[in-house]
Amino acid sequence: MPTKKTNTTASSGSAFVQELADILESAGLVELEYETEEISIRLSRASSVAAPVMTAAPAVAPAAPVAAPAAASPADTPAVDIANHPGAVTSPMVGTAYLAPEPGASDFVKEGESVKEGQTLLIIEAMKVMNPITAPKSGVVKSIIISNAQPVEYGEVLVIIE
Amino acid sequence: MIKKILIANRGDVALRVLRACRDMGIETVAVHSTADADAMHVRLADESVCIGGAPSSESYLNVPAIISAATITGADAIHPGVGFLSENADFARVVQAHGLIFIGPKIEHITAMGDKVEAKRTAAASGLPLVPGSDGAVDSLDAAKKVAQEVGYPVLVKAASGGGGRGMKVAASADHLSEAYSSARSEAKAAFGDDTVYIERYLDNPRHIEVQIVADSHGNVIHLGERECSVQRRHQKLLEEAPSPVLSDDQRHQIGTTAANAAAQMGYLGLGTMEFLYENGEFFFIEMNTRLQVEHPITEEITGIDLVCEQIRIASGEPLSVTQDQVKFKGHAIECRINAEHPETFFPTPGTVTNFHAAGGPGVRVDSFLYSGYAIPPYYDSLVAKLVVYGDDREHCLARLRRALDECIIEPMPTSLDLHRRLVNDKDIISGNYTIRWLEEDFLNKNK
Repeated sequence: MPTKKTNTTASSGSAFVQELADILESAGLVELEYETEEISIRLSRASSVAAPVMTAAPAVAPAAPVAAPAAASPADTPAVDIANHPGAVTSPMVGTAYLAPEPGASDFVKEGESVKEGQTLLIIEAMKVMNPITAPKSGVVKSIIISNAQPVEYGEVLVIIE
Repeated sequence: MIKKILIANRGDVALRVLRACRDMGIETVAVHSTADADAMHVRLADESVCIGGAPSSESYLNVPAIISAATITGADAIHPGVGFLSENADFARVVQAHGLIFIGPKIEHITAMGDKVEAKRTAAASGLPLVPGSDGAVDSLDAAKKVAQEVGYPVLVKAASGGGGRGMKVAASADHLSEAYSSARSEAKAAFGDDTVYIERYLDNPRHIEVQIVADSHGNVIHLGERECSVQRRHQKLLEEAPSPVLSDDQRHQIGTTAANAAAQMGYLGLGTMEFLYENGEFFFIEMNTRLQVEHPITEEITGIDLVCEQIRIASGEPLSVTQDQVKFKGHAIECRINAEHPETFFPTPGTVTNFHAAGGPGVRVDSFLYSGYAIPPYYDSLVAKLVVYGDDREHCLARLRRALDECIIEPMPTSLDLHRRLVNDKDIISGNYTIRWLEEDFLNKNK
């Protein structure tokens, strides 16, 4: 996903959490989870007091020698690890990734499936041209990181093959 | 008004464009190579898209990747910056074919001014004075001899597809013409893929003075004065000042008006800079740059006009923010280009900046993407900071510049800061008595 950064302040955050809590209540849910690139919020009735867990991307501070800004939410922590995974298949281009050859057709591959080297895993559409992304080696599809119709950038991890 | 701009560039100009977008409430998309993932403008942008590997051909010159990035982020305009694709008519064409706004001039003018032979023809037709030379391309050595005879030695054989100081060979006399002619053609072929050359008289000891013009889509064309850019090494500018220390108000008005009228006659749109060689009170057109210039800040300082915001406004179809009568030149400004290169050997000095401290205080503007901990990549040009200083007059400006240069810290690598510190204490810079040959032939020689 093209990296999107927004400075979320505490005040805007708490109003939003309240909204989610209201939805949890009115819809009679036990648990509600909301996730974007920047934040991940989970509300649960498990404890007597709903304990919203909210983490926001750190505000960008150019003066500090921080590496690329990474959202601190739990959902993104694996993303930092998978980039270095030996079986990571990364995007060679900028475009939109599709998991099936066309809408309605079944996906090229599923998680857990065995694939051969050269087998098409997904396609990336760039400027109306469909580009097949093939398995660099034979193995098992451990996880499909991206979702269907997701915009991807150069170097983005698409799939993990073990 | 444009809503989201994709900045198709890097380094200093990308940060400059981002800042203008911020001022105007326009969303920003930074496209970058893998080597620039931690660049300041990438960190500050609303969205960023990695478009390819470190080599420019894979990223900043990668048209499909840039267009794809615009498509997936929903940008409605692309700012090409300086260098890279900024004067590439094909790129502008592709951008427009995708329904995006190319922030720059019309494609016909990018094309016309990109071919230096064609540019001179257009300039002449628009009433601009030219360096005496061949009427178009020179196809044979015999033709070259004839032209050189008429124009008078020494002559310069120049590549039609060159520009920016590249692809030029001097022939001091008839004896040297054959070699200059053939080497110019073969080098042009290798560097630009086109061995077309033309010939101009080689001016004795001129100054480089350029005029900033700006035109909107409502028929308004104005000039924003000149910039003196004679301090050059290998045709690359190192220090620029506005106004020029040698022009009178009358001369300024005259060349400015001439340039603006030429642009109006062409039907030009956007920012443009007409470059002239100036000698003995005469101006000679050499080329026109159909884009923002690196040294634009000094014009901003003495006119109070934000040129990048103006560019974006024009691209959005808005009229110029000022009329020619409202343009006033106040004070004096000097820009020092701080390069990551050794101040004496000029070898590039990329690496991690452990300590960066920008100068500050009255009249001091530091345009830089450096920060402590930032790794200057080795793949791109060496410009890392522009120190732009303003003063009430030239002397005041120089005093402030000395103060600012003393405050600037970039460690641990050697940079041109030390060269600039020596320049601003040199008697010729102080007197304003320098030409385009001064730095290489006088200053660097006497300081060996």
